[in-house]
Amino acid sequence: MRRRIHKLSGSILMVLVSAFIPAGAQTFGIGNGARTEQYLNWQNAWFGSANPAAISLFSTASVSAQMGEAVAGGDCSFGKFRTPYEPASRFGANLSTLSYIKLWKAVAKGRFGYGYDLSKGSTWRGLADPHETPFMLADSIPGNLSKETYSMEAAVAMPVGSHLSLGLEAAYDVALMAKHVDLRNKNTGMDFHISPGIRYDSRHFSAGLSARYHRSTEKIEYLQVDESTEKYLFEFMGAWNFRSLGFSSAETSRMKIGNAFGGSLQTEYKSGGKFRIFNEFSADYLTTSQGETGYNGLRHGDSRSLVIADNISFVISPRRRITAYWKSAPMVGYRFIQRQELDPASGIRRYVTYGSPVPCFDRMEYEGGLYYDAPETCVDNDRTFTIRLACGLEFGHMEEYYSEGIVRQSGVAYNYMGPALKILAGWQSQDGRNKIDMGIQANSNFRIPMKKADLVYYDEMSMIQFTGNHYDGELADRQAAVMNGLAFRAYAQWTHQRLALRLNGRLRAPFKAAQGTYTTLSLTAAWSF
Amino acid sequence: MKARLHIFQTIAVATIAAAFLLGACEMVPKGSLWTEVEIALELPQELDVDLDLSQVEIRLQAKASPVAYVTNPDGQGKARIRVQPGRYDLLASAYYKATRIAVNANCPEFLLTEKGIVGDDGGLLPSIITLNLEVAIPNELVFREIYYHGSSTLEGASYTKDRYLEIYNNAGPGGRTVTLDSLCVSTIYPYNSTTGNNPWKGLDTLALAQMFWMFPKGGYTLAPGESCVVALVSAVDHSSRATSGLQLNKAHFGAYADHLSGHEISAGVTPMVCYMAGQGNTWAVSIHSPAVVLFKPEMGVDAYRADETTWERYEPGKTSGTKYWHIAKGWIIDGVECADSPEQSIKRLPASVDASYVYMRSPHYSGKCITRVLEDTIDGIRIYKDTNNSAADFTPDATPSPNLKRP
Repeated sequence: MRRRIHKLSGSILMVLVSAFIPAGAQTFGIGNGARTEQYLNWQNAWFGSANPAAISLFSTASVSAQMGEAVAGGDCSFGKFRTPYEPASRFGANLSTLSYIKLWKAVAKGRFGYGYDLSKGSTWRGLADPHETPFMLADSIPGNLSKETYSMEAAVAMPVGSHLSLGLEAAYDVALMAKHVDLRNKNTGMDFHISPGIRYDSRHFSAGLSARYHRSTEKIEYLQVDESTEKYLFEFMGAWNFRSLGFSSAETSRMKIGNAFGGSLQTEYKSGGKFRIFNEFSADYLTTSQGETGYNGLRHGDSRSLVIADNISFVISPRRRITAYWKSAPMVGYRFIQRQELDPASGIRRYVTYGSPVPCFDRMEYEGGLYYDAPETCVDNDRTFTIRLACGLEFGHMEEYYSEGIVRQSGVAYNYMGPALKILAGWQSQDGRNKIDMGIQANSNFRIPMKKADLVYYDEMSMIQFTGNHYDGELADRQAAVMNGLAFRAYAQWTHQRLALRLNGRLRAPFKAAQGTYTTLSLTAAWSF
Repeated sequence: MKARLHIFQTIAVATIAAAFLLGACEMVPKGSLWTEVEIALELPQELDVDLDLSQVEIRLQAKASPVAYVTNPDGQGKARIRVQPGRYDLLASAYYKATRIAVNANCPEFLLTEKGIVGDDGGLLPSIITLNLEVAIPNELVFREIYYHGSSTLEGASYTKDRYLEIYNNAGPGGRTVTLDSLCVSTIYPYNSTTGNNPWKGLDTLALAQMFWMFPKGGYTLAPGESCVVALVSAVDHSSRATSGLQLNKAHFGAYADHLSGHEISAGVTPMVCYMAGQGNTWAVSIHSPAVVLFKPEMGVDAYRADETTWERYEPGKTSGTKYWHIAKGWIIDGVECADSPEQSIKRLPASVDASYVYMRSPHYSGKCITRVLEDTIDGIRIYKDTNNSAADFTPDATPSPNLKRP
């Protein structure tokens, strides 16, 4: 027992550094080229699941004792056909490393990543993730926005007995974001995630269960450097409803805290041959809370969301799958009834909350898809040239409402549906040392207009008056417009033994050409070990 | 084998079914919480005129969102409004043009939960509010125009030195000529309407913000229909400095004192007398939400300033820190509550001075002002609307048009 604990703790330490230290001279036995997590996912659908115990399958998925890659890349985006949150242009660079290592009977995984983004013409970006909560401070003046992210992840799994395996995963991310033009926000974010899992395996049937806890914090501070002119800060309350205040009279700092509890259930049937059916059902309960950064107790709004998702894969062969997924994510936002009261003991004025939280925002969002898919490194080992087709169908729905008692103000509302088509081609040299993979993918989304209620009066006896700027329909329309159009993706990857170079391009275009396009280009170099 | 397949099929089907069922259910409730509040209006017993209470406008202003609920009561003065729980101001006001009678009443900010109104002690009270309407007595002297937003320099930077206020004799034909001697002008603390709370809420005394200015002794008077312009910082010609182009070198009075840097005065403009009630080297009138008052201490300014023990006190609830000069609300001749926006605004002036507030829709430094609504002109003398309700009495976002001295 003591020896096992000693080995396990040593394994964890190895995992933390394994992402930085390349392996020895052992080569990857199956095929040539760069090893990626996507390849492992195609080897076994369990690698794409949320169960950390699944990484114990690395023992059977790879004949080598260690596998990993170090990646460096850069990308840029630009164009007019974008959501209000996307910048006019963006340049990014990133470094990452990933490693799987067999340690006696256990398998450990480590990942480290660093990314830097510089956006130009960025507006309304008061939060690192504007969709996480409806409550947000933001400003409308375009400016440069820089963002740095650091991410670390470690996981370990080991078999217990002949059928069971246990796993544990932890991840820690840090994000720093800052706008360089008044009104300038500085965001400091932290994300922590921990997940245990257990997996049962038998000849024809496997099942797994994993739980997870996720905690995130984000501190937002607004600053005005040039005080010669008044700038306005917008307080969003959901569905593009807002109140604007001069910066000097506004609350200018917030702390957002998020918690998520969830779990996943995996089941798999194996025919004994190549055919498998893998299903993963997930449920997560997410909460966010925003308040002042100090100790005055002022609260700006909470949100609650229950995300239910299911993914099912019918594995026909190692390079053929039919997958279907469906996800539902309703959200409700609440505000609080508070007043400032003097605490006689301390002499400090603090906000005291009364009554129940008042629902003021609700969002209904679901999406799904059905795909007949193939891997992007598609050439078979016994062929020189391979070509494959993949296709799918996607659909989704989103509607948001801001509620003020008897009035429900619609924000964004749309349905969309569309097909996806992918053509993949791969070539490898006679000696297998060089490979070229190329692909092109096209998606089209047709936004089905929804009947959007503007102001709905439920009680004719009372008349509602909006006493300030309250709703920006133009921003709501811009957000929904992006869901109506075509999306193209093309990639080309050259692999020479351990080195892979990949060029990726995406183009988003509306059906009406006058709205412009949005292009993303990326170049990545990966070294496998 | 068959038994295992059967178990798998059962688990798989149950899992997928659960996914769809759970997603279809409203696991996160999205209903809207609402409650009702009852309002009862009562007229003063001493009023010997019958007024139609159904003409009174009841306005419930939300303080945490940009929404107001507006309704009229029945003939008995009763109304029920269905609203979402939250923080509210309540105002009832009416102006009966035929009799020139104005009535006002307000309930300062209160918390309405789904179970009732939160009392001062944190306990719950029934959601019933009774408002005793007060008859608004028109004042002889009123603020006709207040320009506090500021403008911009010719280069586009913010500019606040060209601000002014105008005092008008609204007594109308046959009215009294009023002397300005010893009348005082100031703003009420807190400086801004967006401050989190008002410690003086509900009290009979108000705190002066930083300083007050007295019209000098010298026999200055205003006859009915006459007005005087007071420059708040710089009584100079701003036409070459700012987009407002105001020629405040033609103002009647200027807030000028030697110890206040940044203040300027031109020849021909009479300086007011400065009394410090705090600290600073410039009169810091809020550019977005001042509460401006015209008042006269009943014992005279000299006796008032000599009685520090009575009139210079700490903030209510505190026994240390900053001391403020206070005035009694009964000394106020006219007052205007300017707010930055209706929601998130505290009330500084009592309802008997100003039942509501006026707020600008234009941005700060827009060069716009609030100006009193012209009600009538009789025998060439203008009479402005004065119901002690600035929301009805003033037009926001007006172009400054001070009645300056003619050369």
